[in-house]
Amino acid sequence: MKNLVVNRQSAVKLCRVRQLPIPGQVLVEEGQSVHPEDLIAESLLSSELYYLDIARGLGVDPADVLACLVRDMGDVLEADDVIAERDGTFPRLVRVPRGGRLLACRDGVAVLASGKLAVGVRAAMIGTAADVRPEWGATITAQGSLVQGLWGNGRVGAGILRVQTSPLDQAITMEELTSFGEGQVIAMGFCTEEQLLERVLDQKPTGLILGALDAQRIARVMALDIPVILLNGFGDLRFDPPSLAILRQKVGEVVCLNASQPDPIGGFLPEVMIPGGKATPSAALPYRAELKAGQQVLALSGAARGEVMRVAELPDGETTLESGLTCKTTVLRPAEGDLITLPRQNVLIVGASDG
Amino acid sequence: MGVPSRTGTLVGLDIGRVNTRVAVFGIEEGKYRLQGSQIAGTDFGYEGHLASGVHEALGGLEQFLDRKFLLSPDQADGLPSINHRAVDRVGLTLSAFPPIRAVLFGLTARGSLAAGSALTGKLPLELAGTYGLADLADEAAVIDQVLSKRPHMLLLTGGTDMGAEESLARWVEVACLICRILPENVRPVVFFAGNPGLEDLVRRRLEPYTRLVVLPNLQPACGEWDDIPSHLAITREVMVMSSEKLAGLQGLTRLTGGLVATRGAMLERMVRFLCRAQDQHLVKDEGTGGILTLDLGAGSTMICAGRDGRLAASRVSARHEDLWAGVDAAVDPIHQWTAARLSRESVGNEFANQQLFPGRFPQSLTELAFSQSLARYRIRAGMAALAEQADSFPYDTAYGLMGEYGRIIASGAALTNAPTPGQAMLMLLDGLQPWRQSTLVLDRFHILPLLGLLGEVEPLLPVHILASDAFDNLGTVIPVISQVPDGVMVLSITVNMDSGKTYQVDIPQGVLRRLIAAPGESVTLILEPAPEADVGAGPGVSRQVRVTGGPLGVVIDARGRPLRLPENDDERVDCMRHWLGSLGG
Repeated sequence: MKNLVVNRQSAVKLCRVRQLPIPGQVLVEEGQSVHPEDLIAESLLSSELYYLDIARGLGVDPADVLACLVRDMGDVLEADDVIAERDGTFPRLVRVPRGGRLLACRDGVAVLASGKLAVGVRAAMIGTAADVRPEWGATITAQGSLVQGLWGNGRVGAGILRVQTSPLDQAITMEELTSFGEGQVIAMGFCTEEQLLERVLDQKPTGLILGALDAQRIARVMALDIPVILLNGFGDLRFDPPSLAILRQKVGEVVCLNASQPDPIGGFLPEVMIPGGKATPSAALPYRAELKAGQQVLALSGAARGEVMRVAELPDGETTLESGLTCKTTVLRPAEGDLITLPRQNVLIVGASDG
Repeated sequence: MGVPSRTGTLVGLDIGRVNTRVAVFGIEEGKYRLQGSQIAGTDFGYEGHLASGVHEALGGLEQFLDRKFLLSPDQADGLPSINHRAVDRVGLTLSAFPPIRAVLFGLTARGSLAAGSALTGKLPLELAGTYGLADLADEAAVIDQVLSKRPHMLLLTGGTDMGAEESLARWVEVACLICRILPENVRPVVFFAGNPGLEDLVRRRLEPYTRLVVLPNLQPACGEWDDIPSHLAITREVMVMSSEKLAGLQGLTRLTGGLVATRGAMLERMVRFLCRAQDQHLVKDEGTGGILTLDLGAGSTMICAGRDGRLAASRVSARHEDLWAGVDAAVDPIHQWTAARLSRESVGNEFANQQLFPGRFPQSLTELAFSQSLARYRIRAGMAALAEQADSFPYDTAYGLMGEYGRIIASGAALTNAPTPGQAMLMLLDGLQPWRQSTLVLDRFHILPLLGLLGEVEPLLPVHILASDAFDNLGTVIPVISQVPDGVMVLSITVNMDSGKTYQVDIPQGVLRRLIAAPGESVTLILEPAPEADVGAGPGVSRQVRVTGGPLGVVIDARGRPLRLPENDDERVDCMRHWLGSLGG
């Protein structure tokens, strides 16, 4: 069995495919620098359809309308363009009331689309476009620090990073928040209370990176138009040391937040990307990996939930847990205190710079 | 019972969202038996390969049974190669799917839309939109909405045979426009299951633009539904779409020679089979009416109900439906049934984390209590969704399962992994709240759907396995329905054991009581309810029943309906622990 990996690395080489769900037009060229909000590719679908009764307008039998059309299917018409006409003693014509693309004509009625439904894919990071795949998108490459989270609210953004300096097991103070100023990406320990969240939002941040959030705030956070990323999940959990170390090194730098929802099929995790840095980059770990002794892992259950520890042992047999259930386990070494035993399913591998 | 026509071994693979299970069936003393079962994690999703879990589980079974099922385990495509000298046939049921969105076009809410919704409810689909006759007033808005949802499938239904041609023809035009607007390679597959009189038009208008599947009318006559052909056809498409997105599925399909199906479809098949068997072979007394199966998988909740020899209702509630929107609504019902001192906030956080990681294992007693309250919630939510979909399904959200289901067969890790039979029984009783006598059976190896699938190649397999000890008969529950205050006597029972021993028990309102009857031992109970209490024959009417014991014997549930729990957290926890204690802990 493989375990999910969350990469938390200070120097990494990153490649991310940005691809449309339906084919369209790629808007970047290979080698072009991109920013998080930049559209990589866009598909425009006809929308806002309207119907025009040509048969009635010309006073002809519906079966004769196709012969009277003066425009072809797929043509784009401007408002007042003639779409159909009839010769004869009393010639008549029909104009379109508003612009649009002629989609179909059936039973004497033309169908036009006056709008466009845009489906786009954004860069969601600072980097360089590479491997352009015509009609679909491109791969964006970059180098820098990467902190992956467990949950995001689906938004994308960027800003200057500010990190809570007061102890992370305490709520961030108003004084500290005010000192950050507006328009920053704020990284803070946790957000359990509604009032705290509102105070933070009053600072008009361009993004939030939280150790954890209270699940009662999900609806509020989903409705925000700024990206919000949770590093360790929901509840009374703290920032983990590997993430904190990376983010504290990068205070004042531009960070990109891609708060996409975790997607096991697409292999996405929400992520914070901080471009640049002089360290030699390593490759990020894959989406999933085999659990091995010596690895750092994030605990998902028990009293140590949200803590990063190191795998001390992977016992062969099964262990009976306090719950009375039996399963394969891993023995973990916390930074302080006794060894901890957890079910193997209940840990994520932390792809950290130091292993 | 017949003699097996084959001499070999059948292997069933069951791939779920979190677990992959492998079961080996072989012949012993002339009858099929479950010879071994093994479980491994499913390598699901991105960079995953479904064969790796199969490989691991089969490897484990090789060791356990000291037989060689795999020829060369390290094939280039990651697939185990089956040793056909040791295995006659392999079948695969699947309940781990990528999200597949469907949009339904129909006419009336109680007619074609209800039939279409019931059909999609049985399938592992996300129903992204339902549009009826009234929506035709603004076709342009419908098209915009559908385009923004980018469905993988369109289901067109409506009109009885020879009916409602004009309205349905308009939906055909809408579907045609949608397909013309979308680029060719992302156009939805269209399933037409409406008035067959429009088949020519449908083919003419849609076939040039997309893949069209014409099916028998879902509602050939008013009030008459026939969804079996549509179910099979859409299931096939779901499997094809899943194969494109889940690495390893194509190879496993080849390995099985095409003997693959969804777990839901096979559960339905088994419910039909069991109902027919019950109808044909058993005396229909108060204890035998109806079959209900319940599967609490990590990816979905599946419930199938059948009676009178046929499937009556079925539903798959997939996990991805309103994944985050549903968190707030779920917190109170889960908190209310948690047998641990967890705050409402903690329950919300546990639930949200569970949505992120459905494969987590309950480690502490508190986590176990949460996972069991979540199971109760999922049972109730699944039953409520089924009742909403099928008017005839006798479940009320507040009161419970009011219809008669003589056998309830349950599976799902929360139930089958429960540390004691009492915990499994209590989850089922609290979640279902049955009003009638029922025997609760645990499908501990999750093999019921595999029996449906492998029964295709060896019809005796399900017959023999169902008669074996592969399923755990937890015990029979007899609910006592009464509204009197707690403590008032509501039932007197005379227990006559086959050994000749007889004893009497009085049951007061408000209790859960276990009568000892050893597994396999039959006992006769004479039930004499108080005038205001009902044990299935009407208020105050006595009855005699004969039941077979399980690990929990016979359980008398006189807690009342609906079940009421104390508001106070401490009292609630004590109450739930007391109930569990009544069932042996």
